[in-house]
Amino acid sequence: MAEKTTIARPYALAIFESAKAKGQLAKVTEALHIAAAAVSDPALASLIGNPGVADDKITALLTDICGDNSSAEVGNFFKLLAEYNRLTVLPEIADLFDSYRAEEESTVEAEVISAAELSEAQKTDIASGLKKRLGRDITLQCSIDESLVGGAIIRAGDLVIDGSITSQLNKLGQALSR
Amino acid sequence: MQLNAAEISELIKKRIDNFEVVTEARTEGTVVSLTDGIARIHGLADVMSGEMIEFPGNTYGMALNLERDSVGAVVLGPYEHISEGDKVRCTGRILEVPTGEGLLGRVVDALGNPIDGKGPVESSTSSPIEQIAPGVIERQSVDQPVQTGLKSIDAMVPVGRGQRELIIGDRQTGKTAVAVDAIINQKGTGVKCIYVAIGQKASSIASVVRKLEEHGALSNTIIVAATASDSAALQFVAPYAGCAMGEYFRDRGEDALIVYDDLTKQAWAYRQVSLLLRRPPGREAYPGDVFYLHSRLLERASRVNTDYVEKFTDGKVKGKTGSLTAFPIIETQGGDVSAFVPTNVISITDGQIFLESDLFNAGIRPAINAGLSVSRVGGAAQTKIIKKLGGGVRLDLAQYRELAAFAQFASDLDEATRKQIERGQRVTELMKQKQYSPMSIAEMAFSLFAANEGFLDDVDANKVVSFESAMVSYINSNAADLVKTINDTANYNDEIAGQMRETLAKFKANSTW
Repeated sequence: MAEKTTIARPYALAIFESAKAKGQLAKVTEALHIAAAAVSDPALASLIGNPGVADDKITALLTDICGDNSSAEVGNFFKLLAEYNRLTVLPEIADLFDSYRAEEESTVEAEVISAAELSEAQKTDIASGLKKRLGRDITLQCSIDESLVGGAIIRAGDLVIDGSITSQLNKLGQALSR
Repeated sequence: MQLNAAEISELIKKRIDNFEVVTEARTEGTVVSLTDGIARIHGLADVMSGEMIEFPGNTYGMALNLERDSVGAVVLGPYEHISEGDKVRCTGRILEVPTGEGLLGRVVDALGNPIDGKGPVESSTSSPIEQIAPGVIERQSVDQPVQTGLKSIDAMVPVGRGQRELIIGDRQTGKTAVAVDAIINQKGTGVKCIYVAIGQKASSIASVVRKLEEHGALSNTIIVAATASDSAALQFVAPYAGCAMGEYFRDRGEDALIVYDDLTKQAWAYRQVSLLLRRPPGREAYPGDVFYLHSRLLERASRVNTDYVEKFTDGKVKGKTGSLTAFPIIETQGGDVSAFVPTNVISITDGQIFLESDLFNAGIRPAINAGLSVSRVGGAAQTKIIKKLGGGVRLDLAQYRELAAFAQFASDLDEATRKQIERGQRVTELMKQKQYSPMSIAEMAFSLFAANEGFLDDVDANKVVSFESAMVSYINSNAADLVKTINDTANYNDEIAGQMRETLAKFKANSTW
């Protein structure tokens, strides 16, 4: 995975710069995500690199499923990837593209795992707190995990803010057994 | 200790009261791959180089390679329970080990956890395993001796407090024996010892521990053991951990002695870790920084001045210097000292004790090669009496080596040459010493004096060993005052020389051997 990311970086940077210049960030994001999902599909994955299937068929297929989101640039990008046998790194390219876009638009996606359903007020509280801390606009993604007992865990990139009862109980256990 | 239920619940209550509930903010990464104890981790964007990171299941690792998209880390300890996708946390701390007096007499692993079954280690302090060595201004020159109790070393390759003296030789030449004897001789001198065993059989370590215990030297010794079955990461880390434990004493104005047994295996372990981390291999497949691996470790063995100690202890310890003396051990293959690691360590240290298998097999034990063994700074630290008397021994042996080839033509040689050969044979015999029988300064002085003054010339070469042991027991019972004076002051003058001559003459007249 680490190596794939290294390979994906220049491609992602190139398509990002091009999309930014053309003002098509949203469309290209969509297209990349659809294509990434497509190449991860076992049926299609087995065709990539198969000498019996011509590359332009695959790129045509990818451009096709992207539908409205596709553009000349995206189509050429797929052709380029096919030419260099790099279609398999599309998921990493999509990830990197997202992170470049988040950087550009100064946003960050935060995952909130809580023990109980969060109220809207709580959500805005968390979002504004995180915004203060990270200096970026926050998109919250909430999920519920009852095993936390209480509190919540917030993930934003590498940062994890752990305010769950379970982890505090674990720590108390360690402190007592010491 | 008996506790009733009320007391126990009181204790627990106290601990719960002291427990702080804090929301923890940390950075996390994900294990991408785990091969041979090396984990590649995605994320962990703000990890430090050398930082301790926490894997699930109370396992720790050390981040070594910080790359653009991943972090390469070694797992310290077993790694079977870690799997791809596991979360890894930063701890924000450099790897630390417990330090202090509480470790003395204990056997601990490379992370300072006790492995001798004597319960938890009582230590209130801890210290990072990697520390920068004291600088130029903080140091003082070496001028106090470390008595190893081996007369061939104390006479010919003296070691001073704060010195780094390499013990080098093939397998089975008595390297560990020399180091263990030196540790045993520190009993009652206030010098704290640390024995770091790297990549050795657990049975060898157990026998060292047993020997130290038998000779009453375990109570001032810390054993740091990374056995052959421990992971390469632990073997790589063990010397630094031991060094941190020794620095505790050095920084508090005490003297400590550390034995690294042996650094060849540490270099092997480091080579393994480096290759698995995909660092480019260099000569003998060692990574590029294998010199720095040993130089930064051995540089921490030093003598520090009073200002440093005073500053370190916030003025609590005044007017005392501290020292950490290192005995690194290097095993050569077939006597080849020009291999990569031996040459490196020879150039780093302040001298070497060179042990040879030929000498060992010829029964000369300790098998020290007097010609190749040197001490670059120890001369300044040698006790006065041994310095005066030991010089002759070195010279005798050097001349003997030149002539030894002619020994079989003894009858055809001129008088002077024959005398020289005979003196050499006797001195060689005299330098033999049994394991676990360290000698005091006075005992050594008498032995050397006997050789210098010709008391051995009419003793059969094969009787020298028994002559010496008879002499030692004679002087201890019949010249106790003189022995005590020499041991206490280590002084040498005409008066003492006269008394020694008189004692030896009496011994030769009255004793058999």
